Amino acid sequence: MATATDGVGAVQAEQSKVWEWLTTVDHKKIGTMYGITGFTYFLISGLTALAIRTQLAVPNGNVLSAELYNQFFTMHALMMIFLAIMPMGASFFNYFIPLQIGARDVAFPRLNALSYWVFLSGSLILFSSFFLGGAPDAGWFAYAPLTDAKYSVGSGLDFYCVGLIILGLSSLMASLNFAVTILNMRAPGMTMMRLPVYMWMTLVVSFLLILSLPIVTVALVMLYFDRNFTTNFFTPEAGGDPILWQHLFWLFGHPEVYVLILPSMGIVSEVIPVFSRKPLFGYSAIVFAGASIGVLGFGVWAHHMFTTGLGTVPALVFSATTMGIGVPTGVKIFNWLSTMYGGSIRFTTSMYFAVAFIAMFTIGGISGVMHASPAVDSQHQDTYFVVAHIHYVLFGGAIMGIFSGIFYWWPKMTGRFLSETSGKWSFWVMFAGMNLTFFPMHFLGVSGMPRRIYTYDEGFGWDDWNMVATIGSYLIGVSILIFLINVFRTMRQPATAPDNPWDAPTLEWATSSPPPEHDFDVVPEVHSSIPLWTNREMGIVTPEAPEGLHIHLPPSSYMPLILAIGVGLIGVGLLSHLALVGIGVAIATYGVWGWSIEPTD
Amino acid sequence: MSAATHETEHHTSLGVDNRKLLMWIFLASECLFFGSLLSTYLIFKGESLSGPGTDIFAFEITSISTFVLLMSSLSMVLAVYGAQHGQLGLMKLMLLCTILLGLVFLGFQVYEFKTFASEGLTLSTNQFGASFYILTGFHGCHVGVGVLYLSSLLVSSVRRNGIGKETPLYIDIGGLYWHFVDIVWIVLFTVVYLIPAY
Amino acid sequence: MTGRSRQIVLVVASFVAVAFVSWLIFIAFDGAAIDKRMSTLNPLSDQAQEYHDVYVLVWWLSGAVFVVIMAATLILSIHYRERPGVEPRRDIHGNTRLEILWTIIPIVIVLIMVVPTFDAVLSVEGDAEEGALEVTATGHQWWFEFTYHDSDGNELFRTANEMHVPVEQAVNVSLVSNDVIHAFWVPALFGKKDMMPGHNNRLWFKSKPGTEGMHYGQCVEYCGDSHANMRFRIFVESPADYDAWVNNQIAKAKWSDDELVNAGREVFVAKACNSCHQVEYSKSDAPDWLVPPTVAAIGPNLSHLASRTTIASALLDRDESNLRSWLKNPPGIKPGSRMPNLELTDDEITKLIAMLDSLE
Repeated sequence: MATATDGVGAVQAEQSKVWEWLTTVDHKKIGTMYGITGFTYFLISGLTALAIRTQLAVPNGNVLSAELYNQFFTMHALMMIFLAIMPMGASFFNYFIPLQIGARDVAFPRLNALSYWVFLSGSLILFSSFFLGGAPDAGWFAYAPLTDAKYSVGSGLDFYCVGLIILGLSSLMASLNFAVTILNMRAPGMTMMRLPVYMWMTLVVSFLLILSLPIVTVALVMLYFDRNFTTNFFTPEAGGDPILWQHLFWLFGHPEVYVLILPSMGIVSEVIPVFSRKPLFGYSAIVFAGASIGVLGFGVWAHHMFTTGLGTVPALVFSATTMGIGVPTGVKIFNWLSTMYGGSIRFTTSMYFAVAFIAMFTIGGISGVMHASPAVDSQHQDTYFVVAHIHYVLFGGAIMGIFSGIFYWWPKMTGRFLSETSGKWSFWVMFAGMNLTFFPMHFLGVSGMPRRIYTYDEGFGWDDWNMVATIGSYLIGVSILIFLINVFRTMRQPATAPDNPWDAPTLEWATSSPPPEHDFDVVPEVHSSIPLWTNREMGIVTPEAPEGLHIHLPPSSYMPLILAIGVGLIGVGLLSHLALVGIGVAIATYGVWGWSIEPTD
Repeated sequence: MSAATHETEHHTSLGVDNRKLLMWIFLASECLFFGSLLSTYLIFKGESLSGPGTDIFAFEITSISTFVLLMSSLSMVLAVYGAQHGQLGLMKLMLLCTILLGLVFLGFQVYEFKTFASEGLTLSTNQFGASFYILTGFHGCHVGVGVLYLSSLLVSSVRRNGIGKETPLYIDIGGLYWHFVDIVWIVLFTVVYLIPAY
Repeated sequence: MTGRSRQIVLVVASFVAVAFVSWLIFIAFDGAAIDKRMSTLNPLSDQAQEYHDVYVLVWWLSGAVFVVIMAATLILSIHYRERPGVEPRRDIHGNTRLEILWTIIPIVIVLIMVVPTFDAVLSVEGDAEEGALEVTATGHQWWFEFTYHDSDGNELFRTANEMHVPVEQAVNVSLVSNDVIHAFWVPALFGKKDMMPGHNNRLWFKSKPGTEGMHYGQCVEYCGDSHANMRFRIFVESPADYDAWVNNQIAKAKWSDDELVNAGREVFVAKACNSCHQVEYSKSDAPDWLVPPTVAAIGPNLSHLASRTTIASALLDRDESNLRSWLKNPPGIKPGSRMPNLELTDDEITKLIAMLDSLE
């Protein structure tokens, strides 16, 4: 039996639970915190969605004023993208990267903790804008010159700049950490082409963020300067150009949507083989398709700008690249379906979500390829057709993929099984609700309903489908409630799940459920991308841990927390009193200094 | 420090230390950062409605500060050499030189900004001013961070136990950052100062 | 039933089910949408038609892909459910020939989409026909201003909310913004194009024969508080009706000596309406009437308000009750409106309405 030592010896039993979590550098705890925080914001953002749908249920509704509606649709997108989907993705990355590659933690555990606490800081700054003068209300894409101080009076857009810069820093740090971990800490025998597909997607996502976040950071800094320091980067009257904002934003914004979908594609690539009980079809093709989506993703950004007067040649070039990126995506869909072919499929809740992902993402992908043509886009852009597209790929795709992962990995993380009965109810209600909400939006789009409008008139023929969509959204709400009840009941059960209840092939299933603090007693040999199945076929048995095995774990530290508080104060200072920036810098400096001198053994 | 069993030498899949790999990938991110700032500068430098343009540059003075920064890269190379060959005295001296040269560069930059401001070019004067200042300003910040970074390495190295047996690695990583900042300056100097002058 | 025939029934039933659902969707898309006011499926200009043709092609291709993938998902899910005694085919890792095939087929589909797209875009985005009518559409927060030009580019007149064009005549619209990004869109006549501050965008269109009538438009680029309320109309008319409209707009504002109208003019000046809105009486009718400079209009030109069918950027029909509500509290109807609540009394409003009604 192995003994794990936390650096500060046996005193840990007396530490309070709260302090343990505040100072943890354990990837599993950090992943858990990301997950809970992300899901909480998902619920809050869901409420903004319900408010929006309630306002739009009838023409000339008066549930939300125009001002509040505009804040809600802006924050709905910001919260879903930056505070819900990305953190829930980070949650699984954190928890499972070391486990899937056979490491014991990420490359930089304190940096990992820092990423979470900075994320929390940034999220609180952004969210607090609701209560501190009004949330940003210029859309999540914040097109200039509407965002200039002249047209967006008040501090909402400043919260936007500061909040997103801090959130970007958090994502950057996490991505650097994950990239180094996956590249450099794989178990012996695990070549790159034996990495689980989920790990490949994580690696691509990390590089997408590493290369795209700096671009939007520059844009946000320039916007902040325009608003506060009388520069004119985006003010046309002084020689600036609003189009520059769009280019910089979408150079980030487009890779960002692949950041949102690739993790769920990775999850689905794990789940489908497990419940079809056969290996993934075309492993290399899926890996190359994922990598090429990442690379090509940097070459399509101006398809968000087809109607801005780009010029015919640029528009056609970007149209071609955008249609082109549909090809590797299609390859993946065919490979997932082919994995099911010849399988013996067990329809657990996780599998339902994964199969629904294929269907829903296909619909979203099709509508996307439709308006990859500028001819079609000129009649779709800024209508509900695009809203339908977005939500099919993000809800039907990203969110359903996340739920598939939640039901798949719950036993591994908690030692308990979420109820399958309740799970299937929440799946079907969510599936019905989702389609009822978003499919009619295609009809609204071709009937000419613009998006980002707080109300509409009778006589345009939009009334009925809007009502249907609102009812659908309430169904989605019900499904989430069912899910929450499932979670609460499950966590009151004892933790009795075995190591590998689904008979899955990847390394995280070669340790207990939940894993011990040191993750693995012994890391199994790796001879393929499906090590546990291959080892069983080849008769390879993982040995028991030797007696008295000492596994050294990095000690807890409160320096990440201190540094994050410092960064947060700098942000708060930029939004209120500059004196706070000074205090924030001082605290951050103390955090960095303490970090660099504290012992790591 | 990564979690591992009791080996002091961590095995890594790519054969590069984790921290060094981190710095390399981080520098890739920084390339995009400076690339965006440089693109903005190139787009806007001719779009000013009024106020000074590139004629405000005192090319000769900036050449000196560029030379200073280039020399600091030389001293950094020597510091790394010293660290890798156990010549800690050389390493500390060269670190100090690099820091001082970096500070001189920053001094020149502050002088330049103040001169330009007095000649009527500020952040809010025109498009050239705004994009010039944030481009070179952020570069200056990176030099400043580099100075702090190398100073902390120097301070650690003069303490009783020094940096430890990973000294060559730490100095090497510091060198990577410093050389990057220098290369960015070479690109900036060429594109911003040199090319308009000819 | 044998296993084989069960399989065949399953495949056929799945395709039928998906096709049926697709047919329902088609009905909903097509049948429901075509006659809507802002329908994008009812092209009434040559340009909208060219883009619509691309859409139809893309729609059918998409529909085919949709049916195939949905059917495949359904069939595979049902056919390969775990059954006692049936082992999964663990030996299948890939099939290179198949993978090449389903990489090539999507590329072919993309090529089929790309070629008509290129043709349509090059055609529609090209220069307008010779002799096109020149109009400048200016986006303001939150209304549309239209400036008509003669063939030498000189300004003829300005109006707001409504644009009139002759049928089967090319119209070249220059797109300008006074403040933030807006967009110009009448689905029946042309796809949207942004009004980008600092840039000169343009679009052109030529209505088809028999398309006389009123067509609805709206701003489709989020532009602030009342983006939802920023609408307009385009009237396609016979050449005769169009000429009559133009001549009326060019003429100075109609003068009426009616007592109530006079009182209305007094309120108009006393409440400083003329600091934002122009009403251009001729010098002979009103030698002392102040006409503010025409550069940088703050509010719509009202010289011929009574010739328009709507007010408040086509948000409301122009009738007594709507005029009254608007004048009573503009921000209440259009949040963020630059026209403030002037705290007018009902009496003042009655007088103003009389004056406005006289401006045919």
